[in-house]
Amino acid sequence: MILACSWNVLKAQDTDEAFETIRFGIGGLTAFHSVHLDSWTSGYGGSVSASTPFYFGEIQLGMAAQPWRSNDPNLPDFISALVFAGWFVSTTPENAVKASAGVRLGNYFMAFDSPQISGERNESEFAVTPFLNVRRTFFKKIEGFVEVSASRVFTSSRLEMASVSTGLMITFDSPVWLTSILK
Amino acid sequence: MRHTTLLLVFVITTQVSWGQSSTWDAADLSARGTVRFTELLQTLEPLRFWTTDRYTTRIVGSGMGGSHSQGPQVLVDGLLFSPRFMDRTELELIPISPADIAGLSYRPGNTMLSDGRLSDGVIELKTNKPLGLSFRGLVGLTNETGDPGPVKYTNPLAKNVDRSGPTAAVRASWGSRFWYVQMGLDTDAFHMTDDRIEGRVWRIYAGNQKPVVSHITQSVRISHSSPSTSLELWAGQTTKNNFLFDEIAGFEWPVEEARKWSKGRFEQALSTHWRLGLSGGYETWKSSNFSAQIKLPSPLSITDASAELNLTHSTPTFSAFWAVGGRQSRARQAGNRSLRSLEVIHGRTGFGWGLASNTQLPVNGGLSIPAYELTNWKAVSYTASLELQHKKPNQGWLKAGLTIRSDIAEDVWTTLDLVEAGIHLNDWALNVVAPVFDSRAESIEAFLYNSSRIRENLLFWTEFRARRMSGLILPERNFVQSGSDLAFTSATNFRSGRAGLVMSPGFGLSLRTEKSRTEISYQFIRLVANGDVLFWKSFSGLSPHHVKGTFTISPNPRFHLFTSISVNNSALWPEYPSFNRNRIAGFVQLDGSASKDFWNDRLRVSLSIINMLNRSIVRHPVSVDEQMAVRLGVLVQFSDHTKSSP
Repeated sequence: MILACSWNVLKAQDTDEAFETIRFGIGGLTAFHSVHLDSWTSGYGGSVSASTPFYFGEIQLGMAAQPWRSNDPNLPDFISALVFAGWFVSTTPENAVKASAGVRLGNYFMAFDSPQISGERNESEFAVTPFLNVRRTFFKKIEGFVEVSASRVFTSSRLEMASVSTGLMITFDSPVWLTSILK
Repeated sequence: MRHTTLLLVFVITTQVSWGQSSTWDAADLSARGTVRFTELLQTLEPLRFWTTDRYTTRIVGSGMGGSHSQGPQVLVDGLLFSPRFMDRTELELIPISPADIAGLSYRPGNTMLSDGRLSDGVIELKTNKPLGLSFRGLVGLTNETGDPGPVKYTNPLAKNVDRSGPTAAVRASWGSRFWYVQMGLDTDAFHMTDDRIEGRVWRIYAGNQKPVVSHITQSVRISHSSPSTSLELWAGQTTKNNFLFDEIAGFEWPVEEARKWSKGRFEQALSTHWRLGLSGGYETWKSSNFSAQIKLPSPLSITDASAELNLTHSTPTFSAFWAVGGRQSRARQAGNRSLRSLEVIHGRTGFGWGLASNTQLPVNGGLSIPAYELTNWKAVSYTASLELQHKKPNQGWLKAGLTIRSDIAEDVWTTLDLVEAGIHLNDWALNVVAPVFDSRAESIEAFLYNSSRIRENLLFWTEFRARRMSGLILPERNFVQSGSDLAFTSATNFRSGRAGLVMSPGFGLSLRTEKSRTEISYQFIRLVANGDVLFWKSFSGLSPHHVKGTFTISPNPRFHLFTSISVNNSALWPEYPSFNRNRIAGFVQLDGSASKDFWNDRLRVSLSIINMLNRSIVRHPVSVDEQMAVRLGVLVQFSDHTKSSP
């Protein structure tokens, strides 16, 4: 249904609206399912993002970080941080509850507690994350959201994780100087 | 072995394009999101290429010269850039980034260039020359997927895979109505960590090293342009820390290549119809080895200088071109007395008639002769071509052409030249034997091209090319491979008098709208060896069936999307018989790029996903296993004026 509504969105958001507002989001997240991470358990993490209308849909930049606790004493804990750029479409703005669907591309950084044989502690790899987001306005420009996402990290053995996050978003008008740069 | 001291070349050609010429403008090229000149060339529909390491690209033109063709040479604003060595043209060393290019055209077929050498196709570039003070910098990073991640703690053998960058091209310039001055810095690096290279690395270093190939070029150029006069001067130096794969050895040569080069071109209008021109270039190339467990080829140095004087006459219905020049080349090697020395004089001329308002007839012809054999007409090399160009009422073209080439020319840049001259390759390439006798290489190439505009913005074209070659000197290699690590040994004998035929039909369409451009083409390459197994072995390697499609769209003047698809069926490399390595699987490569301009066009960010289908791509029996990769490009440019100087 969300994707079916995207055409309305595309028509609604013409070029003049691009970059006119910025919506900041902050929330908590955890992974409830993972593949090739059997030896680790996800802890609670957080995410921050900034979204703005694009020529069609919206684009966003952000980061989502969370700890991974080792289940095996021989393996290190690590902290992951997905730094991403995303694009999504939303249902028509008139709806009280808005739904969004999109995809994020980013780099999945991993910082391990102990060095590997080569002495390196860090690792990173390209990741793709499709997501669904539902949000509702609570107070003027403040919204609450719940989001489900599925990430695939393109390591040699693909890491996959399904996550849920929830939090708040607040929308501002973009400053003129920023709009002129982005446009 | 021939002992040549002086070579005279007389060549005739024309300035009129030979064959179908493909052109791209800056907007189309910049939307492709590439950060290297060679990456950009890979996206162009007519060009075929292969690579062993993903980044050092062997562009072999349209495929008529086989998989080992030296490929097209490059003219940048009329200056010849031809960084050659060991059978390849190191196009990645040309100090051009995609952001520099205002226009690009590719012309297939044999062409004589201003240094008197023959080229299998020509790539011509026009560069951006911003007015006023200007700064431009393009930086790119590419990351190939497949790193181990947390698995590296459970599997100690897991290792990071290839990555490249940063690649950077920085320009500082000043331009006025008549003058343009530019300083440039180009640098690039990529890591070689692929499993498929590791075995050969062990053989060279006796250790698990991770070679990094890098190069850096500093250059300065000065241009002057007025209605009556034009001048181009460009000079620079390039250092490349190379890990040069060559089939004569069967593995890589860890070598530092140092080039110093300068090029120039001057043109003066004598009257409305007459122009006088002078062009030339000077280059030195030196090698020095990195330490290895094997004895590498002794340090080598090559110098090459060329100059040409030309006269052009043009009227609306007739054009003519005459040129006389020469070149001097020397190759020296430590401990190897007087490897090779050549001196060359050449001339070129051509004529183009407008037979009717919609029909042209350019004629080319030329000959060359070693100067020390000035009176020996058996030593003459020559080329000649004839083309008929007819513009059809539907704005399409009908073109037909014929080119003959017969040469026995010697040089200093190819492997055969160096082997004939007695280069010491040492342990790196054992058992290399020069040909017993020289043979005259001859070729005749014919083409027929027809295009029609089905609609105003839709062009459909068909083309057929055939090139018959004889008298070729080809390497007969005997690879002995190990199945586990792709290390192998090679024994090479050069055999004379090889012959065969390459035929290539193709068709395609081009659709342009206000915001988009779509190109789709199909090419079939058929080798007819007539029992000449060595010809078949040497020319095989390119996929016989090749489909290429590109789609560029700019939904907004500052946002661009580009996607390309390349479909290749399986290809045969018969020289690699062991362990079923001689057949390369067919593959489909899908790439996509998104580019966004910011800050009043001062900033452009491009994100590309290469090989989106994430299927393994292998382009050569010993090449790396290419996986999906992500490329980020950032272009920053500041200029007083957006207009370009003439």
